[in-house]
Amino acid sequence: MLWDEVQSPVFETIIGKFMEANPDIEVELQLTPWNQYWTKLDAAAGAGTAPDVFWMNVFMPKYTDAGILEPLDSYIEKDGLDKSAWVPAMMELYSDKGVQYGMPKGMDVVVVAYNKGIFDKYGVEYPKEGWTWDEFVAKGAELRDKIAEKGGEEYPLAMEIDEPQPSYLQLLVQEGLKIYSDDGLTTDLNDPKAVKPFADIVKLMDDKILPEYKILSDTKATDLFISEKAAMLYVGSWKSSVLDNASFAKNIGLIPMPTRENNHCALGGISYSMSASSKNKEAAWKLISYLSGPESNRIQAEARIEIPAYIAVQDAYGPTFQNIDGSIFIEQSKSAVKYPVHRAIATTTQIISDNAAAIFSRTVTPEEGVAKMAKEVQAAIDEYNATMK
Amino acid sequence: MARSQKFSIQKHHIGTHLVLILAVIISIVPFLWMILTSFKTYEESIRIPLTVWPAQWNLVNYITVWNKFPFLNFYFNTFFVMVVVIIGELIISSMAAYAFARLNFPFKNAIFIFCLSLMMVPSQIFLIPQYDLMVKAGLNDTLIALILPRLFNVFSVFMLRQFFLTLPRELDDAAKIDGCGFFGIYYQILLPLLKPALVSVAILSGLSTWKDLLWPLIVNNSMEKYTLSAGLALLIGEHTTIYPHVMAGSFLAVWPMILLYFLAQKQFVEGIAFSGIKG
Repeated sequence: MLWDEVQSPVFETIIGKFMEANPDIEVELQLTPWNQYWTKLDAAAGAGTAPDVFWMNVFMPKYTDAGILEPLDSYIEKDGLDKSAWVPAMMELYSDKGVQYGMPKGMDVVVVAYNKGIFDKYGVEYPKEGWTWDEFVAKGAELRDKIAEKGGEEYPLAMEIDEPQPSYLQLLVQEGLKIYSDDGLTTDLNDPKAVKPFADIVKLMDDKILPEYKILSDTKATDLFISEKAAMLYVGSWKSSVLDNASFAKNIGLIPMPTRENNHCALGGISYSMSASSKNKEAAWKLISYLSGPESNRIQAEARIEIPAYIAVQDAYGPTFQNIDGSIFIEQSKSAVKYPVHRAIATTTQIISDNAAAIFSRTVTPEEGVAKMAKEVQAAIDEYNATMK
Repeated sequence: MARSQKFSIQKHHIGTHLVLILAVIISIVPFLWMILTSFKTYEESIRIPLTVWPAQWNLVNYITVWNKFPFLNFYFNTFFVMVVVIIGELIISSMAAYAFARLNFPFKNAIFIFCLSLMMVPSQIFLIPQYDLMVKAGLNDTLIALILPRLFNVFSVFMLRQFFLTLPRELDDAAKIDGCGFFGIYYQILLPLLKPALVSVAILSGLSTWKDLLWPLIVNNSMEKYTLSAGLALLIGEHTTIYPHVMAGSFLAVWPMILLYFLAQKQFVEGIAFSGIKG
């Protein structure tokens, strides 16, 4: 069972190949929309009719706690698979308390995209790799001044600050924060360093480098960029084919994110998990191992739908783009950490985004907002741990 | 004299018409926007400032969406489920309503109140138990699973019972004297008088069946068993939604309803006006 309609034709191809190689196994593809996927999985798992293999994301601990997912370690061992063939951060993301519950499908990386057309128009030099946050802000200020000088209407920078992953979550990670401790008992959002990313984003808005929150919450930052209304954009790899298909795609440059304390990227992504109540576990494992393996990763890379988490075939991702340089995504992923996860992530993510929205709309100062955020996240963690005891 | 009278009527109508025209514009703009967007390219659909007219009027989005999904199955499933639910619900609800309104049996009012109290429970609560029942009956991933839970609708029973109560008992007595049994009174005497109410119930249940989204998605797995609304929801992505595809799909999904409305406009308006006044 999967949730992305755009990817389903590619999956039909992949599953066709799998069935050719395994004529005794018949695979049926189920497509469920993202908005109803989790409700459906909950209902089906409760009745013991969950699909044998399904897509899983960072909500995973909820399902391992419920005992719905089959531990995969014994299968991995039996097949003698080498776990280091996959990007470590992705394997780590789908293991829980040392047990592997999912095999990575691919990964989501965030980079900076820039519109060379706008840079040329105002005579600003393109950003160079290895840039720092200060250089990034300076580039934004230079763009702002030159655009104002010529009476242009473009924004120097756009960022999807209404979502954590392509914006402040990366900046928090780049401050060296983990957000959730490894034992899942505390948060480091109460660290003074946690205020800085939010304060920096507010400062970008004060300095008229980034549009106000109202504009960015009404209009997707990526849409601004695609409409050539923004010169730079923090963008997730899940938008890569949208960038590549843009009418001005030849003018789109990609570059890794600027360095703050570090320039790590928190890698997100999907995994394949097996239902613990599956009646065909051997066949289900064969499918998982094929789907997360090199051939399937290569097909998805060539279809531009996913950056391979299988390291050996990552080269396949870059060349498939007609206009943009896909290798930047791979490069950014080299300095990566796993996406910050916690067992109560659905609740805590909501808390973080609500408080971030309050900061960005200037209802509260960054200091107040982050303090409240840290307190509420800690409370949610404590509450979850208390109910699970 | 006649002239000024005519003028005053028109003047009186101008205000009404202005309000109505405004309401029409407000309600029709989303539909027009849907149709315009269905012809745009993806880039045009997200462009800022908004692009009103597509540069090229081509049907490519329609063709893509049509080829992507088994639309003929969607149409058949949606219509089939709707028609069976309407017929089944009318029969069951009107019989139940008749029993609650006219017959006497032990605990009649207690049972009726119990049924009514079900209306206060949010329908989501029933989702998982209903799914469990369907799985245990081996009915998940069938069209029957879409029909069965909808056949008994408390609201329809309640509404029809109120209508039965408004009909004079003398009719029953007269029929009884002429030798009519309970079923005869129900079927031959009272039901024909209830036609407008039955039309309202049919419209309400037809519309809600047509629109139902969560249940068909939960209980059915194969795309061949999806309804139009469930199929459409597949076009909404987690990260990227190709709006022109969604809009083309939406148009393919709503035109039968629009057509049906034009064909049966009179019944629609009467049915809703009837229930609006009395229900």
